[in-house]
Amino acid sequence: MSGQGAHLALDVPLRPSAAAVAPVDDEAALVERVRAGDGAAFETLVNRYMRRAFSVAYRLLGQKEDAEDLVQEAFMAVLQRVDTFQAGRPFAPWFFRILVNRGLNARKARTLRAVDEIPETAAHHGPSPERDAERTELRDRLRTAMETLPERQRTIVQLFDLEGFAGPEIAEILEISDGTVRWHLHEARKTLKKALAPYERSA
Amino acid sequence: METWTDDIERDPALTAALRGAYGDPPETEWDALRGAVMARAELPLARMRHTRRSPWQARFRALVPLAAAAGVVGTAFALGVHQPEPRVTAADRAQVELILNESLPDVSELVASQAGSDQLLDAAIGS
Repeated sequence: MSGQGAHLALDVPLRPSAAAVAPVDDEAALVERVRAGDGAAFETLVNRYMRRAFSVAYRLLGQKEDAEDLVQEAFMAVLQRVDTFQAGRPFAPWFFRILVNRGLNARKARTLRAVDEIPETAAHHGPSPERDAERTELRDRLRTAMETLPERQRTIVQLFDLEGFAGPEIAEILEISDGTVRWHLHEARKTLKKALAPYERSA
Repeated sequence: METWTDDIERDPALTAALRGAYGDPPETEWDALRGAVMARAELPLARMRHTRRSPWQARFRALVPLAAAAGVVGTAFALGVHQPEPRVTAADRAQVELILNESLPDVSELVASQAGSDQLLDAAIGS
């Protein structure tokens, strides 16, 4: 994507890639200690994944309180299911699978509070009223387009483009193939770019 | 540990547009969130410690009521049903025989119907 639409949003810093926070070697040992009831090991995992978990939870649920609840539930589920964790496998995809599955269930089950309110962090004060109006219109178009996406595509876009997860990570989290992730992402991008096309033409 | 590779091409412009539309997640009280998670984790962690420390105790605990019931049944059987037979020694038998012979000298003849009427009468009155 190029043009004015892109230019309008490029001043938002990108999140570090998933590789930057990839799991480290000692996680198998940490999980083994958690199995034995070691609180310090569990707290290490909590500290390591709490922020990213909150971020993903917030993307899924759109509310801070719901996201905090989801993070807590996901960590409790880790304790309940730690015996099913396969030694030698990375912890992160297993943990985020729990989080995302619960988040998607919660998104279906709960009557979420309205998320139309523009987050403070998304508000920009442009150099002119015209530019502000363009930003607002672009944002609304993009959000509307996201809402029209099938849930799986929307989730993949949220994980890939907003949270920086890699394709194989998403495949493991959602328990689908890499090719399926790629296809959903391709389809979602087509829809989103169509929504942004007027801005590209006006550039 | 597996290394994840980002094999799908990124679209920085679209990513930026989306992030511009949705913004960053709000800040939250990380210490409070960590504290809430750890507080909820205390009980399950304690349970896991206990189970890990004494796995056999945990397994055998379920057998305690069964063992108690078996003990009660065994005690009742030993006291009520299975009374031991009194032991009679050869000496006891000999002594009983001696007493009988002295007090009833003609018992064998009475039993064998070899005694006369006078002897029967004597045996009856104990003379």
